[in-house]
Amino acid sequence: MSDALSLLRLLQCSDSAFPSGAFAFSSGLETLVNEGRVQGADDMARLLEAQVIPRWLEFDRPFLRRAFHAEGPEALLDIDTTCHLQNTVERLATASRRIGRSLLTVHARVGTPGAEAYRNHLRAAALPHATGYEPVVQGMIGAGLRLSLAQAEAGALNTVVTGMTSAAVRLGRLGALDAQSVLAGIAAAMAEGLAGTAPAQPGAFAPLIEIAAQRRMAGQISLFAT
Amino acid sequence: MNVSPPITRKGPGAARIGIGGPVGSGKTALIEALIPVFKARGIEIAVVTNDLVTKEDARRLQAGGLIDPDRVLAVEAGACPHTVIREDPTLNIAAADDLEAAFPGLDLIIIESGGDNLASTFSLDLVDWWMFVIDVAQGDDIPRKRGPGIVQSDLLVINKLDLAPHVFVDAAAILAEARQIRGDAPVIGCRARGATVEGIDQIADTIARELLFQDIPA
Ligand SMILES: Nc1nc2c(ncn2[C@@H]2O[C@H](COP(=O)(O)OP(=O)(O)OP(=O)(O)O)[C@@H](O)[C@H]2O)c(=O)[nH]1
Ligand SMILES: [Mg+2]
Repeated sequence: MSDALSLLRLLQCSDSAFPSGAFAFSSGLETLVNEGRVQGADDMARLLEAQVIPRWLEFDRPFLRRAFHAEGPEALLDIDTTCHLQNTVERLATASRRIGRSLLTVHARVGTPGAEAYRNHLRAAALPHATGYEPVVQGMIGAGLRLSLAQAEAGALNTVVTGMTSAAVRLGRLGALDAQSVLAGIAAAMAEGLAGTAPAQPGAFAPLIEIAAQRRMAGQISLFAT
Repeated sequence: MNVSPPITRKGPGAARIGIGGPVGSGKTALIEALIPVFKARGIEIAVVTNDLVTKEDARRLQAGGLIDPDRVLAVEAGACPHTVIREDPTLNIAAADDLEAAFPGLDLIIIESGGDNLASTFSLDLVDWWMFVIDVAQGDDIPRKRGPGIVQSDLLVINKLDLAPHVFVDAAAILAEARQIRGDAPVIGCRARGATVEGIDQIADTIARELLFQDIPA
């Protein structure tokens, strides 16, 4: 596939207009904002650099890579199930599944190779509360769209980071222009992370967001689902 | 007889309908009023709510005793009520799919949008048909302000007719004006709450005729 073609498909999937349901999740940010722990652009940049990006690099990335190389729905389901077993933060896991399943639905409708087959496989396997994780679906879709692995990884990390900044804008903690400054400032750290070697085994420790996501109580007034 | 062509449904399963409209216009109240009517007619329904900041509407329906609580799902809108029904309806599609999988005999899935403004519209990826609910107390000039909800919805409902005299609105005039603006598209005046309700059967008839292909004279 030509570079321009894969780049265009990557841009399509990375567009904030691409429907994935991701906008409804803040990955703990809402709690941190309500508690006054994230108040502006500086806090946001620190949160991304110290918590969000490392968590993606260490936990999500290895699953994306495995899924990218997986051959067929059976192998993907194995990776998905491992992702489920290793996901210790229930609320973030739920968000990841809901986004992953949304992505799968949209790509199945759009006709991305592999998407419909995997969606049908998951339906038949009937494990809706244990499968369809976002990095697994992203890896599968990246391969289906014939992106390079590096493109698929950059796209996925970008989705997580821009999702956080746009949640911060809707929470009123970041101006729309400030958000772009934060993204510009953090890009080098993202690139550096992507240039580093991916861990063979997934594992992550990002206590601030993980605990914040869990701390959200059922009765709490909130704009986001996490 | 029904002269308009039948709506083409997205899929073989339950028909999916949207209810949109400004905050507090009576969307949930209308659903509450419709549930017993559908029940009496043997129409099996489920509901998805899109509350802005809580699961209030879902809880209200679940606690109301009108419907099996498992048939009500809440989808959080991430601060964007219009996004979940238009730009990115995927979470609502997934919720409707889940309901359909859990209750295979469903005839109708009602998706209530979080209260929004006059510009909100439903994506046809999500619903087969949608109605827009406004009420007389929001001002008798609302139909004149047009807005996509008023103009493009499949059915415009003007609720709280009982309040008209209290807010200096001429109910007949607001209905007439809305009908004039919408041409052939239907407008129904109603009262979803109170000692007596009004217009609910007519709304149920319209849904049954347009979506469930029941032969109800117009
Ligand atoms: N007088 C009168 N009040 C009504 C009627 N229908 C609803 N209400 C009242 O209007 C208020 C709002 O009704 P809801 O059904 O919660 O409105 P909603 O459109 O679902 O509101 P959101 O979901 O918050 O946007 C409640 O206090 C209802 O009791 C009606 O026909 N007449
Ligand atoms: Mg409501």
